[in-house]
Amino acid sequence: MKPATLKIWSRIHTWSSLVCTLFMLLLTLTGLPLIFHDEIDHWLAPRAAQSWTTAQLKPIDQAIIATLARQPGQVPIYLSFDEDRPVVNLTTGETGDAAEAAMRFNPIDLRTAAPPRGEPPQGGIMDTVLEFHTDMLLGKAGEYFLGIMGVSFVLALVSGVVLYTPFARKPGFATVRRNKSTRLRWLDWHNVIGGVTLAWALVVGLTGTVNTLADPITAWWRADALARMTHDRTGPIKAYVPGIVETALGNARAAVPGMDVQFVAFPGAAFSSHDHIAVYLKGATPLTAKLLTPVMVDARTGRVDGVAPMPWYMQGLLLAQPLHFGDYGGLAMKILWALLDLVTIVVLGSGLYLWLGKPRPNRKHAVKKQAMAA
Amino acid sequence: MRQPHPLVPVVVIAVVSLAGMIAALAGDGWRDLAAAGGLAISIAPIAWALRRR
Repeated sequence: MKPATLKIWSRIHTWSSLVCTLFMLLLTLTGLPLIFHDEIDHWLAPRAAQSWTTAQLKPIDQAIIATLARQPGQVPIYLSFDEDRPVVNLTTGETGDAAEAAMRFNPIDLRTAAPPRGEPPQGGIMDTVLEFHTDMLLGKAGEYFLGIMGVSFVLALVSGVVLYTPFARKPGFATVRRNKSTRLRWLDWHNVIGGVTLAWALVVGLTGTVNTLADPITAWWRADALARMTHDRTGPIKAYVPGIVETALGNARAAVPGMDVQFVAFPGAAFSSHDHIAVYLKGATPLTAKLLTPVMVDARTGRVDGVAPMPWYMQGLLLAQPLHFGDYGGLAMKILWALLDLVTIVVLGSGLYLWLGKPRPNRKHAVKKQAMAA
Repeated sequence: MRQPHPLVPVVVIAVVSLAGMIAALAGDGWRDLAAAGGLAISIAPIAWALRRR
C-alpha cells in the first residue's frame, strides 16, 4: 500500500472511531445487561409456574372490552400473548395510530379479564436501560443519531482491518509484544482483539444500525407491499368491533394452518392498515418463528383479505433484532455475547488511549519552523 | 515452509463465527452449539494472547 493511501485510511480510521467511541462505550455498557434481560427480569420479579385449563379462560374480546371500559377514551392498538401464563397484553392509545410514547401497556389475566394480581409496576429498570440503549432517552432523533454512530463504527472496523493488513506480520497472529513500550503493547491488544472479534462486531454494528431504521422500513412496507395486499383505503381508522378479535384469530388460523399467533395489530397501528386487523403468525421451526406471516383480516367482517410472507427487507429487520441482542441461542451464547461485549470495551478504550498518547509535533516548534520557512 | 499471513486466521475466525451466528438463527440443538463454538473461537485467541504474556 502506498504511503499516501495508508495516510487516507489512517485518517478514516481515526475520525470514524473518534466520532463514535463515546456513544459505542455507552451502547456496550447498556447492552451488557440487556443480553441477560430475561434472567434479570425473572430475578427482579420472580413468577411461580402457573397451570390452567382452557375452560377457565374468558374470551379475548371480553378481556379487551373490560380493559377498555376501565380506561374510557382508549382504543386497542396491539395485542400480544404471554407464553408461560394465560395473560394477554393489550396496548392502547387515544387513537389507533397514537405515538409509541403515548401508548399504555395493559396485561390482562384471561381467567379474570382483569390485570394479573401482584403484577410489578411498569417501566422497571430494564425498560429504562433498553430505552437508553435505543435512543438515549431522546426519542426518534436519538435513535437515528445512534444509527449514524453505528455506520461510523462499521467504517472504523473496516478501515481498521485495511490499516492493520500491512503491519500484521510484525507481531504475528494473537501476539502482544511484551518487550515493547506500553503504547505498542496496547496497539497489539487493540489489533488482536479488534481482528478476532471483527465478524461479531460487524454483525452487532450493522444490525444495530438496521434496528434504528425500523420505523422508516416499516413505513415503506406499509406503503408498498402491505398497501398492495390490502388495497389500503386512506379513510378513517376503523373502530374496534366487540367480538371481532376471536373471529379474526379463528379465520387467520384457518387460512394458514399449523402456525401460532404472535401478535395482533389493530386498525391504524404501524403494522396494520386503516381498516384491517393484522394477525401475525409464527411458524413452528426456530427460523419460521422469527419470520412472521401477516394475515390481513377485514376489521368489520372478520373475513381474511390477504396472506403474504413479508418482503426481504422486513424479514431482514425481523432477523436483525435477535442478531443484535444475541438472545436466540441459549445461555452459552449469551455468556459469549457478553464476553465479546466486554472485550469490545477494551478495543474502544485502547483506541482512545492510543489516540490520546499519540506523539504529536510540538505546536510552537511547528509554527516557528513555518515562520522560518516563510 | 512459508508462514501464512497473520490475517488468514482472522478471516477464518470471522467466517466460522459468522456461520455459527447464522446457523443458530435457523434452529436449536447442534446449531446453538455451532454458534457457541463459532463465538468461542473469537474469544480463544484473546485468552491465548493473555496466557503468553
